[in-house]
Formats: sequence, structure tokens, C-alpha cells
Amino acid sequence: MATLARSIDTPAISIQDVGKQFVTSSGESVQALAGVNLEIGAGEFLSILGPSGCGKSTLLRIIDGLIEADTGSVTIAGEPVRGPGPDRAMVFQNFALLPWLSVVENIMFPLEVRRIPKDRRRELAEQALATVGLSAFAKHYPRTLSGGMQQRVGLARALAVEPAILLMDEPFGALDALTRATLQDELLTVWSRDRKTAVFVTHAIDEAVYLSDRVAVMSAHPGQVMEVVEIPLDRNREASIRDEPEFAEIVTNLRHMLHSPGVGTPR
Amino acid sequence: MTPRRSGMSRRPPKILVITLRIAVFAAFIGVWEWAAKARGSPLTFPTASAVAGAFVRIIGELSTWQAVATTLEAFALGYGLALVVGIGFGLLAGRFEPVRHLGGVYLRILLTAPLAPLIPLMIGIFGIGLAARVALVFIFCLATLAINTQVGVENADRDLIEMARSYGAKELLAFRRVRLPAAMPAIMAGVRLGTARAVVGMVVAELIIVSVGLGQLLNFYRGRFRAAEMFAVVIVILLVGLCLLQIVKLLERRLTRWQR
Repeated sequence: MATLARSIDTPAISIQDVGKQFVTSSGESVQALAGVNLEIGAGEFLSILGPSGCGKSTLLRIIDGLIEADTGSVTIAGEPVRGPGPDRAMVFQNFALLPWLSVVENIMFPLEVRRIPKDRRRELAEQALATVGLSAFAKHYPRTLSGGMQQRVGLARALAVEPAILLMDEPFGALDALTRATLQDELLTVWSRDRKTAVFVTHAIDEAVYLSDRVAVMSAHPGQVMEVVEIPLDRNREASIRDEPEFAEIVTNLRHMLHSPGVGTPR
Repeated sequence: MTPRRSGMSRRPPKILVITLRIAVFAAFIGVWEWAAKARGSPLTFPTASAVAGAFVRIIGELSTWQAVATTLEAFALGYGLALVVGIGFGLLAGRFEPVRHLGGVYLRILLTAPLAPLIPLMIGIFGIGLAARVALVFIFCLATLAINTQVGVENADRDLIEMARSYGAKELLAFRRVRLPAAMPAIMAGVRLGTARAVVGMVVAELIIVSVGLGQLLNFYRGRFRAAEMFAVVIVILLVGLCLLQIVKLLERRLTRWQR
């Protein structure tokens, strides 16, 4: 099967020696990340896999520009990251939909922030909505939608701003297993269309293996990238690939990596 | 997402609720009528029927409506000022820690302490005119408005603000488009509670500070031992308060439709 060419508009991300410290309410300082190095290729789907508390969400936010690293740097296409920008869009674990806006208004919100004219906003929003198959729910309010549908809206919102990079923070973590599986497939379908650089944070091994080109395994305390594993499976994956012995092998390997001593001490 | 509860609960049929309400009201009137007749002191404890008659009479008199207007004047000015100052302060305090500490103690006192003792102070500072009445209404409801607004802004969902920031919203925009709408239910609750307190303030002002408006009307009838008319004025005061509260409730419903 022919593979789609990697989009030349989507950039690579370079994370070099990133460190981040937090001060807890009791005054102690916690080293969330230390010496994190990671190169993410243009058009690559990379998962960051690690136990709770390993700093993977923090790392994602540093890439997004929401948090500033104490040490090191993150460059995108050669330019250092200095705060959030129009080239990146994030999908959140708890959906983060504004409850007082309808579905389509929620998707238009970031476009409003970016001062895109009204007609164009609506056009982009409706397109994005169609991509995730929720056109019929444009005027609904988030509270009337199921979790899976709300996250589709979250995904549509991220797609509508036409970002160069897609960042996802455990987007299916708040959903049940069945919905999660469905959305994973939908994500792959949507992503395959234009193959943007995607960074996907998760603690679920099988999810990381199913979706990604490569998986960066993180250890905790402090958060560091232990190893980056290449996923040699065919890029045009289908759900049936989970039944392949090769899939299970990769998952097992990763599991062993995660359970090796010092990877993640419970908090 | 779970379906809305109102679609699944078993509410009693409307006709039953209305019948019950009428029954309770009728029972109340009945007890009143009997108690008043039994007490046999029409100059101080009029019967329900006497009051009903008096109410109908005073409603038709211009002096009653002039009194309502005068009373509402102090309310409008005092409450309007409190809305601006209270909600304004609450918005800033909810967002900025130093502001919170600035007003915290004073507001808490205004919220919980009995305010009647402050009345002589108001008279001393403002005299016994409109200013004193406005000031009293103001301090009665300021704290409620400020604190409810503050809490509403403080408790705005952090995830939503983070989302707005991630999509490029700067401070002011995030405040206007996320914190403020998120705080609206709490602000409106404050407005509703504040209205009740302002109404109390407006009446107390007229009973104690200076006899104008409805308070004056009350004293007028009391002085002449026209008990039925006096009770009727009390009912007018109650109805004015109820109307104001109803207006606020409707406003609250409109502004927080997305919650239900």
C-alpha cells in the first residue's frame, strides 16, 4: 500500500536538555524533568509513554509553550518556543470545552482568539466538525454529549486552527475502553490525511504502540527519556493488528522497560 | 454525559402542586382570621378580611404609589452603586491575591455582623436624608455581591483557562471569555442574595433613619391605630421585595441557561 508523503509544511521538534522544577505548597522543590532530550521528526506520530507523575504532561506543555522550561530549550523548525503559538494545538484529557458555548461555538473560539473573520471561522469550524462526524450536533451544548463526543469536539477544535503540530495530553484517558478504541481509530484516520507532526502523551502501552511511529519511554523522579523505541508495524494499521504476535511482543518489551527498577516510584 | 435529571425525575403533577399551595394559603388565612377574632383587638391585630379590604383601598391611592417610588429611589441608588463597587471589587479580588487581602476582613464583617448598630453611624455621617438611606442599602448588600463574585472568579475551571491560553488568549481575553462567563452563576447568586438584603436595608432605613416612602406610610397608619392599613402597607413592602427578587431570578435564569 502506498504511503502518503510526509507533509513538508509540518516541522520537526527538537527538545534539548530540558529541565523543570516545581515548588510544592509545602515548600519542597520537585524536579519534574531533568535533562530531557528528544528529537521528533517532521510528520512523525510520536507517543510519550510513562507512568503517572513522570512529567510527560509537563513536557507536553513545555512544547506547547504553556510552561517555560528552567533549563534547556525546545525548538520547532529551528525557532525556539516562546509561549503558545498558532503552529500548535492541544487536545486535553478532560476535554476543556466551554460549557456556555455550543459545539460549533467552541470550535470557533480559538479562531476568534486568532482574529479570523466570522465567515471563515464558521467555514473552518463546520469543516472540522464534519471531519469528526458531528455535524448534526453543531448547536448542542457540551453537557448533552457523551465523553467520546466531547473529545471529538476537542479534536475538531484543534484541527480547525490548522496547526502544524498536534499535541495530545492523554486525550482518551477519561473515556471507557470501548470508546477509547473507537476514537483511536478515528484519530488515525484523521491524522493519516495530512500527517501532521503529532505528540501523544499516554500511560497506556497498547495505545502508544497502536498509534505511533515511535514511542519515547519516560522514567520518573526526575522525568527523563529512557529510550525511544521504533514501532516497525505497517503505517496503515487496522484494529486487527492488535491480534498479531508482533504487536504483543512490542507491548511486552515496553512493559518490561517501564517496570524496570527506578522507572516510576509511586507518589 | 448523563442525561439531564429533570427529564428523568418523577415530579408531582402541576395541578396537585397548585392545589396544595392554595390549600396551605387558605389554611394560613383561616388561622389568621380565627386568631384575630379570638384576640378581639382590632386596633392592633386586624383580621385577614380587614387587611384585605385595607389593601385594596390603599392600592388605589396615589400616596401609596408615591411612597413606593420614594422607597425605590434609595434602593435603586444604593443597590446600583453596590452592584458596580461590589461586583467590580469581586472580579479584581477573584483574580488578584493582593486585592483579596485588601478587602477580605472588612467584607467578612459586613457579611456576618448585625448591621443595625451601624445605623446611628450612618446618621452621624450622612445626616437623615437620601444619602443616609442610600448608604444603608449599600452596606447591607455590598459584601454579598463582592464575596460571591470573588468566589465565582476564583473557582473558574483551571483547565478552561489553560485551554484558552494554549490557543493564544492573552490575560484580558481569557478573563472576558472564560473567567467571567464561568463566574456568572456565582455572580448571579450573589445578585439574588444581595437583592434580598438590599430590600431589608431599604425598609430599615425608612423605619429608623428618616420617615419617608413606605416606612413613613407605615408610621402614619400606626400613629392613627389603623392596624389594617398598617398590615396592608407591610404586604405592599413584601410584594415590592418579591417583585424585585422575581426580576433578578428571571435575569439569573437567562444568563445561566447553559447550566441546566
